[in-house]
Order: sequence, then structure tokens, then C-alpha cells
Amino acid sequence: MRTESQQAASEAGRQFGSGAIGTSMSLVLPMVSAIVVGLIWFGVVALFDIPKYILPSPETVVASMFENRSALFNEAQATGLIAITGLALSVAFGVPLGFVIARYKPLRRVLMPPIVAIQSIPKVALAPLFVAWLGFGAAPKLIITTLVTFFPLTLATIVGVESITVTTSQLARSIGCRSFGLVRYIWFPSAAPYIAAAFRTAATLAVVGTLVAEFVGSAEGLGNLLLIASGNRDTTLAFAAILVVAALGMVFYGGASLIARGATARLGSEYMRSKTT
Amino acid sequence: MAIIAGLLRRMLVITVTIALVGLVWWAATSIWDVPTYLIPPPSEVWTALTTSSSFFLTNARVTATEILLGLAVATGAAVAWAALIVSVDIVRKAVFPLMVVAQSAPKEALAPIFIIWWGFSATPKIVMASLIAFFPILVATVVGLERFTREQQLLASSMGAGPLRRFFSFRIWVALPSFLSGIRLGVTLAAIGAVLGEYLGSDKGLGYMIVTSARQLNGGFLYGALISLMIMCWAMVRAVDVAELLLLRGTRAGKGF
Repeated sequence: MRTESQQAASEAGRQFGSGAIGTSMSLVLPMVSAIVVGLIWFGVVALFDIPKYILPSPETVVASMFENRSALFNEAQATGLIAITGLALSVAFGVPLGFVIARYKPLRRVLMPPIVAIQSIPKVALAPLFVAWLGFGAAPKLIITTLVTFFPLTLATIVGVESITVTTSQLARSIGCRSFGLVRYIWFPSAAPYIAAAFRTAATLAVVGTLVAEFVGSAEGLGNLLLIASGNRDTTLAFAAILVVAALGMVFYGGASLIARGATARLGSEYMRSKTT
Repeated sequence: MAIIAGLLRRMLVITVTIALVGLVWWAATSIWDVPTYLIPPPSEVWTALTTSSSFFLTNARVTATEILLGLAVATGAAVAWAALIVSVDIVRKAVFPLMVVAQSAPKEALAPIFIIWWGFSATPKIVMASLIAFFPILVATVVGLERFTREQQLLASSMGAGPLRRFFSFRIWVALPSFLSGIRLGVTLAAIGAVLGEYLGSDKGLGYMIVTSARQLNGGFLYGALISLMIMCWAMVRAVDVAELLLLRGTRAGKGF
């Protein structure tokens, strides 16, 4: 059920985000809107004389970003490292698990309902539990990030494998495609677009998951910096950190899109080659 | 009848699963002598839940109110924007791509700022919940409304429906399945927003119970609050499923897209 709307979202992204308007516009539009938001922000602060601890003006935020650039960079690195590791763990275990579940029908009947049910549970809410178990180190953050990104990937893999038509798998079987070959040349290429879409979503979820875990219990990372800044009522630094989080999110989304596109294209061509030989 | 049988079977599966999880949990805590603040035995959680049931209920009500208000605000705003986006071409071209992009922005980072602005009240939680839930609902609603085909529009017109009638009696129903899956995502996201807000600054709610009992290493309360939260979210998502079943009863859309 949830994958339907994920699909719908990516459908919308294709239709409106790039297809209908063009890739150059999809880059220009966010920039234009960022400038517009910046101008409104600037105008509001100047016009209504808002105190700095409530809403600092954009130029002081940028100045604070520059002033604290080494701290922000270090914390962004700490957050990014956890997010990447968690995402990598999810891909390494979530996708194969999806294939295994899709392969064995009894397993699917047992495991699918809990996996779908888990999707409707706010998993980041478990962060305090893991912090109580494992302390302020990297482990609880890693667990939360993996937990948040794991199930979308597994579910997408299963849905992807299930999208294979009966005729395709019958054809594959009739030309002697078995176990490994079936996975490599039929399942993987068919599931790849689904996995790619989930991977892009998971990349941004990874940043959010790490951030929330850092909010709950951490001695480092952007989340920790944000909490300290807001605790000190240093709203300027907090906004600087938020901008860095947004940038990190964009880097993750962009990177994941590139990786996903590369992997799908490569597997797609392999798929074509395997069909012609 | 088939639906009832299916429901009964599902209930059975759920009961068996819960019983199994409880059994493994109980066995694990009694065999390995884990500290109770890490993993309390199920009995301790049960005791906490039953002896302080009114405390749990009060806090659950606070969180539920925040989630539902956040969801209501998000849905209202999303539907208004979606109607605007599908009916005004310029808005669609200028705004909708941005909304799709904004969907993947880490909005949770704003939570500490909201706490600075509005303190320990319910406002920052509701704002956070609605902010996170808004974008997926909007995208799902727009996608649903876009599913209204030219043929369907012509059919409606041939029955003498004007623009308003076409929208309210036809287009809304075409959009409903996609809209409801947006709501389903939105429920979980609103819960994340509300609980995150409570984690960062609050004096009541399940999120408040979770962080304080985690800090005080009170296993019974921590697990009790977590389980209450999970059950509450699950029930809310299920309520959307039931609404879908009732609203789309007997239609082709009721069996999926």
C-alpha cells in the first residue's frame, strides 16, 4: 500500500519535476525559490524589527556559517559518516533480504505483514531506547539510521521482483535461466528501478534518521550542534546548522540519484546484452 | 463473508505473532538475566501499564491530539494547494516541482527552532507534525486528481455535470485512493513530528514519557510508553485502511489502482 504512494510520488517527480519542465528548469527553480525565500526572510526581519534570538537576518546567518565553518564542517562530516554507513548497511542487507523474501513464497506470507506493519510505525521514536542501551556513541545512531532506511529498500525490492510478468519468467526458464542467472539477469534488472527509487528516498531518510538520533543522544554531529545552539539561544548558529543540514540532505539526494541512475543504466544494458546472446 | 473470514484470519495471525514475541521476550529476560532497565520482563511493563493506566492515557491523549491536529492542518493545507495546483497552470508549473523537491528536505532540523519560538506548548509539535506530513499528502492528492482522464471528464459532461459538479461528484472520487495513501503516509509522519517535538521540549505526552523514563532507566515506563505509541500509530493507520474500505466499497478503485 505504501509503495503505491511512493510510486505515485516518483511518478509525480518524473512527470512534473523533470519531464514536463526540463532538467535545467528543475535546477533553476529551487535556486530561484531559495533566492525568493532569502529575500522575504531579509525583508521580514528588516521590516518588523524581529529580535535576533527569534529570527536572525540571513546575512548574520551566513556570517555565522563562515565564522564557524570548521566546526560546522566537522559536525557535518560526523553526521554524514553515520548516515552513509547506515545507508550502506541497509543496502547490503535490505536488498538481499528483499530478494530472499520474494523468492520463497512461505517466507513472504510470514514476513510481509510485519514488514508492512513496521512501515506504519514511527521508527525514529525508538531512538531513546537505543541510546539507553548503547550510550552516546556511534552505535545507537547507526542502528536508528539503518532501521529507518532498511524497510523501504526491502519492500521496494519485493515489489520490484513481483512486477516481473509471468511470461518473462517463463521465457527465462525456458531458455535455461536458473537460480543465479535468474536473479542476476531477470530479477535484478527488473527490480532495479524500484530499488533505485527507494534508494533515493532512503538517502534523505538516512540524514533525517541520523539527525534525530543525534537530537536524542549524541556528543557530536549537526544534531548535537543544533541542540547546543538552540539551548544557548544562539539562534543564528542554529540556523547556520540547519542550512548545513539542508545542504547535506541535497548532497545525499543528488549523490543517491547519480548512483541510482548509473547502476540502473549499467544493469539495463547488461539486461539487453543477456537477452540478445 | 470473505472479508470477515479474511479479517478473522488476520486477527489470528496478529494474536499469534504478539503471543510469540511476548514469549520470546519473556524467555530472553528470564534466561539471560538482563538488567531490567535495559529489557524489563513483559510482566514489569504490564504492571507499569495497569497500575499507572490513567497516567499513560492522559499522556497518550496529549500526543494523539498533537498528531491528529497536525494531520488535520497538513491535510487541509495540502488539499487547498492541490486544488490550486491542478486548476491553475502557472501555479502548477512554478510551485509543484518545488513541493516535490521540498518533500525530501530534512525538515526535522527545524524542530529545535520551533521549540525556541513556541516553548513547551503543543504548538511546536503540531507545526512540526503538519510540516512533515504536508508534502507527501500534497503530492499524493495532486497525483490522484491528475488521474481524472479526458474520457471521464467527457462522460461527466455528457451527464450534464458543470465544472463544479465534475470536480465534486467525479474528480474527487477518482483522486480518493491516491489521497488516502497520502494520508496513510501522513499519519506516520505526523506521529514522528509530534514525538520529535516532545523529545526536544515538553512536559507531557508519550514522547516526554519516553525520554524521561529512558533517562531515569525506568524500563517498565519506557517500554510501556513505546508500545502505547506504536499501537496508537498502527491503529491510526488502520483507521485510514478502514475508511478506504468503506469509502471505496464496490468500486474498482477499492481493489487498487
